[in-house]
Amino acid sequence: MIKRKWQINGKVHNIQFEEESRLLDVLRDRLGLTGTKEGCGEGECGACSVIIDGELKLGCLQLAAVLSDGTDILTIEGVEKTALGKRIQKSFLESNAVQCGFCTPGMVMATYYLLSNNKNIDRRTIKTALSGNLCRCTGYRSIFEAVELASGRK
Amino acid sequence: MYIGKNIDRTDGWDKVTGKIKFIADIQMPDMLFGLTVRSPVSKGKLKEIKFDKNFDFSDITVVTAKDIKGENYIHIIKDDMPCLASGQIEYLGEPVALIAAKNIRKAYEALRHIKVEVEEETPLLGLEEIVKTYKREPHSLTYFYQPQINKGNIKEGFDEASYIVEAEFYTGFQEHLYLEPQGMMTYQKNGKFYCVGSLQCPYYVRPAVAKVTGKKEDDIVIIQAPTGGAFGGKEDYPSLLAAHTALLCQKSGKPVMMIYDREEDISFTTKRHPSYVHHKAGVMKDGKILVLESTILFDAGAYVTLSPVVLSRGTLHACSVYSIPNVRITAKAVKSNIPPPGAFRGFGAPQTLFAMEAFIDTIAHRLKLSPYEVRRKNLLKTGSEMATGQQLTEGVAIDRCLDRLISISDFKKKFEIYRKQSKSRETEILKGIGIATVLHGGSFTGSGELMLKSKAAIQLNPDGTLEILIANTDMGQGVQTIFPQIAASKLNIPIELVKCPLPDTSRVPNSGPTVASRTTMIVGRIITLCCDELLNLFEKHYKEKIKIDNGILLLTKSKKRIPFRKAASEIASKKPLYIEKQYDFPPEQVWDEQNYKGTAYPVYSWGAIAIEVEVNKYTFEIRPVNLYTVYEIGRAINPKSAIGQLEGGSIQALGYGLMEKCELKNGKFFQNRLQTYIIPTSEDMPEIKTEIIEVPYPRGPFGAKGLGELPHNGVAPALRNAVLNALGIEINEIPINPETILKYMKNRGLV
Ligand code: FES
Ligand code: FES
Repeated sequence: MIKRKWQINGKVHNIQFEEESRLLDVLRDRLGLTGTKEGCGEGECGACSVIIDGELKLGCLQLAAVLSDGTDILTIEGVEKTALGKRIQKSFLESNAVQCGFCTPGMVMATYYLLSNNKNIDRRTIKTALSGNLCRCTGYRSIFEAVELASGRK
Repeated sequence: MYIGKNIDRTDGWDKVTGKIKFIADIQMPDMLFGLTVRSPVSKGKLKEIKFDKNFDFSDITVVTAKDIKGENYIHIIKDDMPCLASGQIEYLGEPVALIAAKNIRKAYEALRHIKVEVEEETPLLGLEEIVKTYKREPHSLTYFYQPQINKGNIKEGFDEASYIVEAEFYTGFQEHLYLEPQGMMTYQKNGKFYCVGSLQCPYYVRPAVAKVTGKKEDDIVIIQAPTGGAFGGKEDYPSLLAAHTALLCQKSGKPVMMIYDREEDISFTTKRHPSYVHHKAGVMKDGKILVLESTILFDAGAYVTLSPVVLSRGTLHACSVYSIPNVRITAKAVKSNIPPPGAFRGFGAPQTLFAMEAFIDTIAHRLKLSPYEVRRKNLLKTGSEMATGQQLTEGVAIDRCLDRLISISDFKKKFEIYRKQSKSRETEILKGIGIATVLHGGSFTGSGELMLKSKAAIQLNPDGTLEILIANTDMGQGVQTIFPQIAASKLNIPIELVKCPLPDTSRVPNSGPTVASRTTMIVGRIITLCCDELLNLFEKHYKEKIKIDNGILLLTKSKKRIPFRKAASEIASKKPLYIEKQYDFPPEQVWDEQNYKGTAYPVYSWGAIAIEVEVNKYTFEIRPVNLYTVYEIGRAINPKSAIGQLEGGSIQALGYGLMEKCELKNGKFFQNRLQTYIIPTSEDMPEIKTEIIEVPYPRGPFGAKGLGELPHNGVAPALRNAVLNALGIEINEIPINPETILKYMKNRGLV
């Protein structure tokens, strides 16, 4: 068993997990943070996106053990508590960028990352920023609009 | 009052915040995790399931065919698919046993210590093999279903025609790739089995579980968990998953969950049927089609499952939107040794519509006519007779869709410019534009809705809230939002009072499956009938005529005004008031299943699609640039949700036409992971312009017709036609990716 002390969604957690655990499993099974989804388990769909120390990462490819004490993790459950996060979530709802909702947490995380780091965005940057997140329901246009809406461009 | 309004999804906030619980997000105490033991070969006799003696199986639950207390098959149309194979193996991956363990890791470990031995036989694999055999010795194949359409006299048609045009078309598998993989959990309580899972049709699952477990249907409860996309892929397959988890639960006495991983999901669950279509038409000089003779083959896989109905719809959409006086269509669902393909948005229609819409452009190309003119010459109009003899008496809107499309896409001008440029040698990027015009029949085929006898209900609670009780599922398409809009508008009450929970068969009547673009149109209608009945009951209660205005009951004689909530607390004071109605099937809808004659569908939705592409002359890379679509759907209850459906469907169809390749290699799907099975990403998106035309359907709720499947019908052929415009080459298969183009170029000696 590995022991770690991480800051998750603003709170310090002491956790234990097996050496080979993926961050995705630690979040979902140990911490009950089931908002982060598993769509493929091989880094292709983006449903497991989380932010680790300010970087957008895939929970299914992230070995938990390599994250040292003090690592800062933001998941979909924590995003709602930030002003930007809330704005993004509202925009997704308003733009009808959600259908089944399975891709949505990952999309929101990728959008959060994009908008926290870029002030000037256009369709091109949005398309690139979300290219690691698959959505099978919407056809993406409404998602692009949601991102624009959240960015204040619309 | 809420019709035509962009109401936000009622489940939206729970989804954007990640709070909503999909099946994999749920845990129960003592829950086991189940896995499937599968056949390693495509065909043969099951010899033995070997459990490694050196592995401790003591805390592993194992189920084989011998443990089945009920009957060993999955109830779908024909009960021919075993729940667990015990003798004959019919496809690679066929389930032969089930195991369950305390956790996933343990279950996988046990799985590695089980070996399945099969005495191999020669399987029939792949559409090409099927077509080859069909041409050589058709009697050697097994057919699950063979519908025929005959209209007019094809000989006379061919005699009279100026030209004969012939072509063959192929479409491949398409994987649904709902983002949430298949998942189900079964637990026992008070002698009943509760199956909770990601599913489309709870009342399909219930009898399937009852049959396998040997229980009465009343002892089986099916509950839909929020479902992360389905598109037909969770129509029949969850019956198998529920049966499997129920068997493990029955044997272990513990809750059992099964979540497929992506590779297992792509490898063994249903897909869109691969198709072969041969068209031969007799055409006049001006493009008028006098006769169409067609052969349609669908690879139907190892068991019957849904193939007959999928092929039926495919056959009925094979003439697309054209009025053709003489028609003969011979269609066959061919048995092979692959996992049974199944329902997928469009249900057979995208395959045959690809062939017909591509064929129209083939005719135009060979006769040097404009694809627009050829369509215009043959388009169905009010009064036209379809291939089944169905007379279209009203609401034929395809001409309006087409004309609007031509104008917003500037098709005529672009088509001519691009056609000329395709001959020029200078440019590296060749542009092309293609169109398609399509239809989709709403609800079940023929007498299907009569047989279904769907019942839906509303329940008025003492606190004035109204619940919509239907078996129809929200898998992302918005049932839980649209239905409150319908009921609140019908009753004229605030929408906040109306809720539409996810179905639980212990609470909701059987309003039929969530398929065939039927939910809004058919079940929505039943809900309006229930609302009418509620008003009747209010009038009986107050003994006078009542109008409801914005949540206030206006008693017309006594001029009293009673708030809806208060009235509800009076009429439903002791217990909730439950009102159930059955679908009133229109008696004029008569269908002759034997001869494929009559009213195949009560109404059609229409669509016209144009797509503009850029093809790189050297790399053959195709980039879709603009996608224009015009859809006629009766009435958009919630326009932003309708547009979401139309765009989402269009992009799935773009993937189908452009990139989604799934090949069989020795009975196995080669592209069985997300790394290899490619679907459209944000970077592949063209600019999309979607327009809705509304010609209300009198029997639909507020005029609404079906719209969920329509957008999957036209994009792939439009894309093929755009490539024809760009390169001047008729490509007759999808997906059209760079390798496909290269193959055609090579065949024609162009590279
Ligand atoms: S689950 Fe991590 S990328 Fe798909
Ligand atoms: S909303 Fe279903 S996958 Fe994106």
